[in-house]
Amino acid sequence: MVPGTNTHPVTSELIYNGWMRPRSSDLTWTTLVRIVTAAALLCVTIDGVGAQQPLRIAVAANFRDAAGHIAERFQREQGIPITISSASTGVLASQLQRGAPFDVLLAADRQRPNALAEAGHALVEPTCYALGRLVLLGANSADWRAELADSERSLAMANPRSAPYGQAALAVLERADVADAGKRRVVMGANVQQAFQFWHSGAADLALVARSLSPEAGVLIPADWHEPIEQYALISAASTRPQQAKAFLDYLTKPAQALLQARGYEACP
Amino acid sequence: MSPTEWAAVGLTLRLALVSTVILMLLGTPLAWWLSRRRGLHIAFIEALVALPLVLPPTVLGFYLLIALAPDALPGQVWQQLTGDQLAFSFSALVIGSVIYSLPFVVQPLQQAFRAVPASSLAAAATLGATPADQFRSVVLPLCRRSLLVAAALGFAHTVGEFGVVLMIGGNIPGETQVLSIALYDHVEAMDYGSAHRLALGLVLFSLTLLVLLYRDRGWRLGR
Repeated sequence: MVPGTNTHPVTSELIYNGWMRPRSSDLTWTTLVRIVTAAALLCVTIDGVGAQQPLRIAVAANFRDAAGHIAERFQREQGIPITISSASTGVLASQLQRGAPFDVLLAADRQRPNALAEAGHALVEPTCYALGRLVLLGANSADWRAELADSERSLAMANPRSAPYGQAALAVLERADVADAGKRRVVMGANVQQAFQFWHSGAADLALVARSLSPEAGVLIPADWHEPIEQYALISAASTRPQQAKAFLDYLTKPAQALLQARGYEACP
Repeated sequence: MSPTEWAAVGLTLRLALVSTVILMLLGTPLAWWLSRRRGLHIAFIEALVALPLVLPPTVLGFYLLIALAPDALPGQVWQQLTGDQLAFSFSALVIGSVIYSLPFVVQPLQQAFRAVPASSLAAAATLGATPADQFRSVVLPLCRRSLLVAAALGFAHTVGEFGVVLMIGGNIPGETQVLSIALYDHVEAMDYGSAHRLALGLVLFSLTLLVLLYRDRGWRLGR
């Protein structure tokens, strides 16, 4: 410890210079510097794994799986690496507007890409790449209307404020003429994928989600129960690789269409 | 583990490391200054530093989202200076992490600095040590353990950050998708196997770090 009471000049100086000298068993500053340097080198090494700058695609949650498959094929055929970020259309659009470095936005509606284009965020006019359909999960296909109208059964859907599929689900609920609608427990996911997850985990009895999330199961909601879910793609005006972005969009709107239809999407009108 | 996950590991370590270095450089003088003074204005600054402990991360995330955007002044200044855009970049994550982890670094340091006896400093002063000398030769060696604790907490807390990064990062693999976000992404995609792997890895990492930290005599750091 610090012998603060020692006043003899020579000993004091010895102690003053001595106590700060670390004992051999101590973790010294040099060791700390070594640890930090080693960690820094490690970071650089790990970082080198993804050397080539990929094409950045922001995908509405309903389209995430499909986009993953298409990206894989596109990558294999054209040698352009792709990274995918997924969230609700509303979240992605506001991120793009605030400067998120996405090259392509695959939205789940027409309004947001068009609004972004009007604000100067699009390189070319947004184009439709798929038409989405809504399904009701957890209901018996014979009397699904009755189940949908039964406020005793809890329901999962995407948040209509940020997710186009949530908006469509809201329209369906309004049309379903739910008795005592205020009583119903509605759980809202941040996006349609999360809504699906809520239902899948058993937290909700029913779910109104995109057919693409569960192409085999569920009751297809009649198309005229809600506004058509026209999914539009946009190439960002700030894209650093517009040629590759255009190539991806071409791939998506032509060769990939068969794959989309197998996954529960329909062709654009 | 997939390449994206390795990228998330590298990114998380890099973010934590860079943030910790900045936190120590900022936090040490700030904690020293706070520990030597009293008054209402000091209490105010202390409270400001402690705010991230009590506020939801969405508050900080929201303000940062607005401030860092290309159409806001801080975002524009950054773009002028560096030529790069600040929003949704690694630098934005560093800024968020530094603010968010600041109390975890400043508070242990402040406690340690307060415990340094004034008599030791006075003794050093009588031996001709300037204030800077005193800090380097008396305070820092005495507080070595606390410095390590502060750095480790800052590091661990940055690794464990989620809300702020989610709001200002944009979940871009290889660029802003740190481990906690990659885990969230796996859960959303219902890829529970990968989610388990990342979650367990994070638990083990944090547990190891904290055990090492709390093991009293282990590293024989300071006293």
